This record gives sequence, C-alpha cells and structure tokens, in this order.
Amino acid sequence: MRGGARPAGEVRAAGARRAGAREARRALRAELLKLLTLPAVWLTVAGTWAAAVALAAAFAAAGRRGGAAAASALDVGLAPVGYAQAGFIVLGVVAAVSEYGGGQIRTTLAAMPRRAVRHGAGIAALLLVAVPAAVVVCVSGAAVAWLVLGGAAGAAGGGRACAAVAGAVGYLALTAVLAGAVAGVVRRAVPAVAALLGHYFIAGPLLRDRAAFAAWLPDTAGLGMWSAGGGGLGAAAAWGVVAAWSAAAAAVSLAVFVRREA
Amino acid sequence: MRLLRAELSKLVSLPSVWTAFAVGLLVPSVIAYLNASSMRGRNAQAAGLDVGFEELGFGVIAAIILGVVAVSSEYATEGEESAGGRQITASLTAAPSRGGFLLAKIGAVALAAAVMSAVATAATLGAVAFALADAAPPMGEEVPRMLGVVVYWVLTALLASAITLLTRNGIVPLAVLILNTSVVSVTFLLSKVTPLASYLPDMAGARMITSRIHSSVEMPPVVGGLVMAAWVAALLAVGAAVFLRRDA
Amino acid sequence: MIQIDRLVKRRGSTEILSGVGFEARAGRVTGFLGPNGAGKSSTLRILLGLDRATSGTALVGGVPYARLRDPLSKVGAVLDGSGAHRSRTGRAHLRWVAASAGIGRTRVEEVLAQVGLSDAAGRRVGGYSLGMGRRLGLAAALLGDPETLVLDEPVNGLDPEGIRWLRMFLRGCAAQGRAVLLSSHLMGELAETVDDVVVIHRGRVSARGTLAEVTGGHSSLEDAFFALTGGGGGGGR
Repeated sequence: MRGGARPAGEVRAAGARRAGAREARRALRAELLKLLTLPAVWLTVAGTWAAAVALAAAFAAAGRRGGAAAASALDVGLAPVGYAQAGFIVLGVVAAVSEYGGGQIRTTLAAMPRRAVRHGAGIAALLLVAVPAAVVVCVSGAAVAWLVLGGAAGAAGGGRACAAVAGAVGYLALTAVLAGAVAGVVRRAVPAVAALLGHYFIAGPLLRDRAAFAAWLPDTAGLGMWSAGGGGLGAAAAWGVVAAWSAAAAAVSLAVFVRREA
Repeated sequence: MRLLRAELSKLVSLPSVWTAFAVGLLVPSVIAYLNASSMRGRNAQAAGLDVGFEELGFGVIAAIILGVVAVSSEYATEGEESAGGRQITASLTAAPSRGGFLLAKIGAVALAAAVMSAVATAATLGAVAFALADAAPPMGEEVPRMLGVVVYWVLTALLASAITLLTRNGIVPLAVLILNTSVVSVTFLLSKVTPLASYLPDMAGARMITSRIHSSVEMPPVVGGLVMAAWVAALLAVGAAVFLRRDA
Repeated sequence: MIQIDRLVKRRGSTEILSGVGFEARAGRVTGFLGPNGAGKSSTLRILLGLDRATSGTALVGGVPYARLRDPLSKVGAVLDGSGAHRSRTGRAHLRWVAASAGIGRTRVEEVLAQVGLSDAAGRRVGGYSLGMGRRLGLAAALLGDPETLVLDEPVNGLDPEGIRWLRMFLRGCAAQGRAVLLSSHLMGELAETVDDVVVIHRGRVSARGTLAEVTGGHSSLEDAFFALTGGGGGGGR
C-alpha cells in the first residue's frame, strides 16, 4: 500500500481483470457454440420434451379416468419430471463426453489453456442449455395436463405453481450439471449413463424406502424441489442438498480435469 | 464355434461387462437380504416367496448393460485416437460372414447373461434363505421361477442387443431400458391406460418371475415368456436385417 | 520462438524424456526427428500444456503455454487426427474455436479456403477422409494467424499433392517470419522443407543444428538419421 505504487498496480490489476473477463466471456461463447452445434444435444432435448409431453398426457388421461378430480394439473403435469430427468442426465453426459470424441479435447486445451476457466465455461454453457430446455419441458407438461384434465383439474395457486415449476427446472438443470461432472471424470458415455441411470432409477428408488441416509441422496432429496409428495426435506433444504451435490461433483470434476494429462 | 469363442473373449475383456456383473450380483442380493432381514418373524412364509425374485427383476439392469455394451463397443469412437478406429471394422474383416458374426454375438450375449443370472439368482435366494433362517420358504418348488429369472435376463440382454444393433449407439437403449426397469416403469403406467401394454416385452416377461402384477390381463408365466421371446425374436430379426444391409 | 530446456518426463518408473532441450527460431522451419516412441509427441504435448513435465521448461515466446494470453495468436498446433468431434460440421468446429479467441466468422471462411476445405465445410467431420481431417486441424491452427506453428507428424494421411502443398505452405510461413516446428519419423519428406534439425532418440537429443550440420558427413538426412538413432535400415550400422 505504498502511495507511489498504487496507481500503476491498480491499472495493471484492472487490465488483468478486464482481460480475464474477456477470456471468460469468449470461453463461454465457445462452449455454448459447441453444445448448440452438437446434434446429440438437440436430439436429447427434443426426445426428452416429446416423452415428457406424452407422459403428461398419459398421466392426465389416467387421472381423469380414475376420477381423481382433485389432482391439480400442475401435479400431474410435473409428474413426468421423474422420467424426464433421464433426458437431462443424458444431456449432461453427452455434453461432457463429446470433448473426448475425435481428440477434440486437445483442440479445446490449445484454444483455452486455462483449464479452470474452460471448465467453468463448460458448466455455465450446460446450464444455459439445460435451464431453457427444462422450462419448456415443465411448462408444456403442465399445459398438456391442464388441457387434458380440463375443468376437472384442481386449481393450484399462482405462487405455489411458480415455486413448483422453478423447483422442477432447478432440479433438472442441477441434475444435468451433476451428470456432466460424473461423465467428465469417466470420459465414456455408456458407463456414465449406465451408472447414473442405474442410481436414479433403480438403486435410488429402492434405497428410498429402506435406508434413512437415502433422504440426503440427490435423487430423493430432489423430490422436495418438485414432487407433490416431497422427499422428506423442505423445499429450501432440498434445493440446498441438490445444489451441494452438483457443486461438489463439479468441484471434483474440475480438480480431476485440471490435474489430468489430456 | 471359433467365432463364438472370439465373441466371448471380447465380452470378457470389457470392463463394463464385469462392472455389470458385479452390479447384477450385488444389487439384488444385498437389497433382498435387507428386505428379508426386516421381515424376519413377520409372516415371512407368505412374503418370503416374493422376496428375492422382485429384486432379481431389478438386477436385470446387469443384463441390459451387457446386451448394450456387447454391441455398442463395436461402434465406440470415444477412444483417444480418432480416425475411424471402430472395432466393427476389425470384427468384420476377421469374420467376413456377417450372419455368422451376428449369430456368434447373440450366442455370446445369451450365454453370458445366462451365467450372470444363474449366479445372481443363487446368491440372492441364498441371501434370503440366510436372512430368514428357519422361516425361509422351501426352495424346491421355486425351480420354475428360478428358470424364469434366467430366461427373463437372457431375453432382456438380447432385447438390449437388438435395439443397440439398430441405434449403433448405447445411450438410447440404455436410457429406454433402464428407465423401464425403474420401480414405476413406463410400461406399467401405460398398462393403466391401455390393456394392450400388458403384452409389451417386459410386462409379459415379468410374469415368469412374479405373480404380483396389477393388470387386467391374465397371463400364465409360460405365455408371458413366449410373448417376450416373440418380441425379442422380432427385434433381433429387424436388427439383423438392418445390420446385414448396412455399410459397417 | 520455442525454447525447450532440460525437459524430463517420467511415467511410473520409465523415463520418457531425459533432458530434452532445443530451440525453434522465428523465420525457420525446425524438423523434430526421431523414430516412433522416441519422445517427439511427449515433448510437443508438454509444450502445448496437455501433459506436465516432471522437470524442465517448455516456453513459447518466453511463457509457458498455459499462461499465454490469446494462445491462438501465438501458437497454432496440429496434433494427430482432426481434433474435431465427428458429428459436428467442419465449419461449426472452426466457429467454436474462433469464438474462444474472439475471432470473427470471415476468418473461418478464409482458413477453410486456405486449406481447400470450403466445399466440405458443411459436412460432418465423421465423413472426412484422413487427409481432410488433417487439413481441418491445420485450419484450426491457422485461425489466430499465429506467430508459431507446431505440427505433429503433419504428413501422415496426406496424399503426395497434399504433402507438396504443405511443404510450400510451411516454407511460406517461415518466409513471413514465423517459427515452424514439425515432428516426423519420415526423413525423405522433411529434407526439402527444414532449415534446422533436432534428432531425438530414446528421450535424448542426439543431434541438433542446421540441416547441413546434422547431415554433414552423411550422404543424406536419412543416412544421418539412421546413424544417429542406431536404427536398422540404411547405412547406420
């Protein structure tokens, strides 16, 4: 903090900050372009959306026939999220693993040698794709359920509806990040998808009723974010637990990525 | 025979296959053990009949992974080196007859799935018997259901291979099949919308393992197995037809 | 300008590089020669920050690669393969690389034309031939108009016409004052292209100097190579 050194030091620091911000912006743009030009990303999102809409319609049709008039269109419309999460798991895996096809990772590191910057940009780009995709999936699911149920639907308050949709969107996006982090460590799509889906669809649900610790696993805790039934945790706690899992997974994958010889 | 041995050695050298085996062995036996221990003393005689078999129904994920990986590994391009390093090229030059190659592949998958399911069944039912001790149901009359588990796993593995043959990519069949093995499967939901869904391969095949299926359609286990086998045969035929025509 | 100094790389108990050191100077084409497994790719991978050295330094313009600002304007690198995902088009691949350095789309079309891929740019990389993949890799390396070019086995997969084109192209780059470093295990292809030669054998530099200095006393670069690396083949042993 010597008087004379300050201005020059500050100018340098500001310059470095500006350069760093510019670099991060460019890295984000590159990572986003990568995702948007990957056909598998579009196919995954489109397939997930189609499956979610079809399931919402089926759930609603079954609900109407079953005479469950009290079921709100919102709960029925969000029910497919339990299956749509598979699409977001695949989305995360596809995004992460695509780096390792055709030696692209070498191009990536040559263009963006600061690995922490590139990894952060990758996660941010994945979120920028996953969040809008999740909004479309959730909102169209609820809309379809509302159309099918028609007047039979129980009403949901606007505030609760927003919170539930936001919870579902957040859950799907955070799950995509977690899946991407796992796949970034595994680097191969099939084992990553098998392990993640095996957990989210088989081991997780089986553990849910049998082990107390399961309430803290990302899939069961996540129920509190979007499911009418909940997962035993309040919404805020559920957000916290799932976000913590995703952040921890992202941190581990970053540590591995920074250390690993590409 | 030579082709079958080659295909078997390919399977045995895939780490994913061994991981699948471990999962298929551990998941049903551990969870069945936990379930059986928790119900010791209570009406175990009645409930014990399904304990173990239901878990083996979830353990089929091992057969799914096996069936998918056996085919998708031929087309994988994720290795470090690029430039068309797909194994299928080498496989088809080593075994120029595509029909023979495919038959050997199917045979190897079926054999591996049969071994996996037999070991998993023995381990799971052994764990149940151990947990229930004296209250364990007599195993003698369960032999047909044990065979049912083996047939269900083998057919599921072949179903997975057939779908992967069409997609040439492991992710789609894995996602579809694992999703559908989940506790509340999509086909089960569908069966609430239309009774026709009871004739889908997994719904029909499950009759071989468990009688507790909530469905409006009655189907004896053997018929269920035959329906599933027909699905698998049809999908394999389509997969084979596409494979034989397509450029590798 | 590339400076490599006392580079050591160990993997487990094997020493892949044992004190490799050389320079690639601006305005010259430097050939980095050695048989397969001699340590060429390991050296280049450390230079580009893909692998870490056990000790020693590899600098580009006095800075380690991972600390370069705007790396694409300093170094263009072509390692084996296309470096592109097979399901993306060639143009889409170059566009994201360009975006990472804030380079515009007109430059993408320029480099596509430069390497002769304009017509194939809309096709997926998975359908490219080996040579087209290499050209795409080169196009990506040229995007930032780099001061230095690093090429690992650039002639692999190129047809004779492509090799001839590459040779003239690299000479042109050197004439513009760029530093060009290229590795190869094929001697004949190189003799007409390089100014300086570095020969590496079993993780050590066994000779370095101008083409004339290294070839000196031998009838050709190829003979010199076999003599220096103890290979079978020619008049080495």
